[in-house]
Amino acid sequence: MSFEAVFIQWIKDYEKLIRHLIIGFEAKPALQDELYQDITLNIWRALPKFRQDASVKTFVARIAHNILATHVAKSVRTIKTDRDIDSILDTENEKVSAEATPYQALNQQQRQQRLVQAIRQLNLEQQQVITLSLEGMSYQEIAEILSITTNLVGVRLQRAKAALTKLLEAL
Amino acid sequence: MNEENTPLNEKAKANMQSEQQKETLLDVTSIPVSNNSADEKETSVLDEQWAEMTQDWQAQSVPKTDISALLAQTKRRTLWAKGCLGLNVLFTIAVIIAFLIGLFQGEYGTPMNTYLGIASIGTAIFVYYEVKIRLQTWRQCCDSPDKAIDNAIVACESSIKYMILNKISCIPFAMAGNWFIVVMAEENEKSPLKGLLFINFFLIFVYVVADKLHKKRKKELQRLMSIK
Repeated sequence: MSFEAVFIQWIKDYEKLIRHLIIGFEAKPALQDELYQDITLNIWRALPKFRQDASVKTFVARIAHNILATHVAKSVRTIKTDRDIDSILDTENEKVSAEATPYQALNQQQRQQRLVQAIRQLNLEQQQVITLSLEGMSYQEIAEILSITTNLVGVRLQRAKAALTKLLEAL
Repeated sequence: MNEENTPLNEKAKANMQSEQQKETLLDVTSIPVSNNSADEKETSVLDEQWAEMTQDWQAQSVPKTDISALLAQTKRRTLWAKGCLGLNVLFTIAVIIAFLIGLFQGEYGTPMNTYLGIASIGTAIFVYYEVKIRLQTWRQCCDSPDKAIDNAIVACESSIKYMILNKISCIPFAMAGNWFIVVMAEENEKSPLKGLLFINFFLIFVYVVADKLHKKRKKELQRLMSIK
């Protein structure tokens, strides 16, 4: 298969994964598109170096995380707070029953927005493990992508989950 | 391309389960007996919430990409980046060759030869830094993400050096450029005013742009250092 065919196949297969990872790190749609283009450009450049014994998913996610980590580190956090949504959510929160958590009481779109907002407020390490874990990746895959041990993935994920829960409660 | 059922993933799932078991064991041994049921309830709520979060996260809608357009754009960008670098290298070689021809055949005269000599040294230094920065950036993409910040710091520092070089080089270029225009105008018996205005405005423009980028990179470096 030519490089072009492989690239097209990879983008088809992992477009959603890349877009989701970007959403977790950047709020502005224009910057999200720019990051998407940067990531795909770097995948294209790195394609000849890809070894068949490695997993494509982890290879693509690793490149995406490189770009996103650098982006987060360089730029001031751009956490978009949508006042209208917040006011709607506040009203909704008042109706939350005693058994359900505030997160569970919202509809899916609102929950997605809250989740993304909260993830963007985590620190870089936590953002990395949370977004990959939410994508359904195993500890081993996350460890491979971030070049850390599976034990460290477990520790970071536990802390990240706790921080995320607190943030979701506060939002 | 679907890797969900690969042996690697099966192994990973097994590892993950054992990790989770370890964590559960740790949690159970570390919590006081009296709070056991409350904590279990809390954990189960968290697990339930986590499952819902995963579902919500994966259900997020994303814009569909025109892959052919993306491929064309990617190729264009790669070609542009390599083309610009290649042109710079060719230009440097051409200036050096022109200087050597002028020096050994003595065709251009002293002012032109002096100017070409300064220009060939200057462009060679610029191209060296440019190649270094480009290679650093291209190498960075498939390195491990834990090195992403270190790589970004190195790239940022190189970029800062490049900007400083740009700013400092304005002084010798201004001196050489002004001298060259005055001498050439005298030789041709023309007014040097237009040439002097052009070269000085051009150098001021270069200095201002380099200064702005220098400040931007310095801010980026500070941010990178603060999270390292």
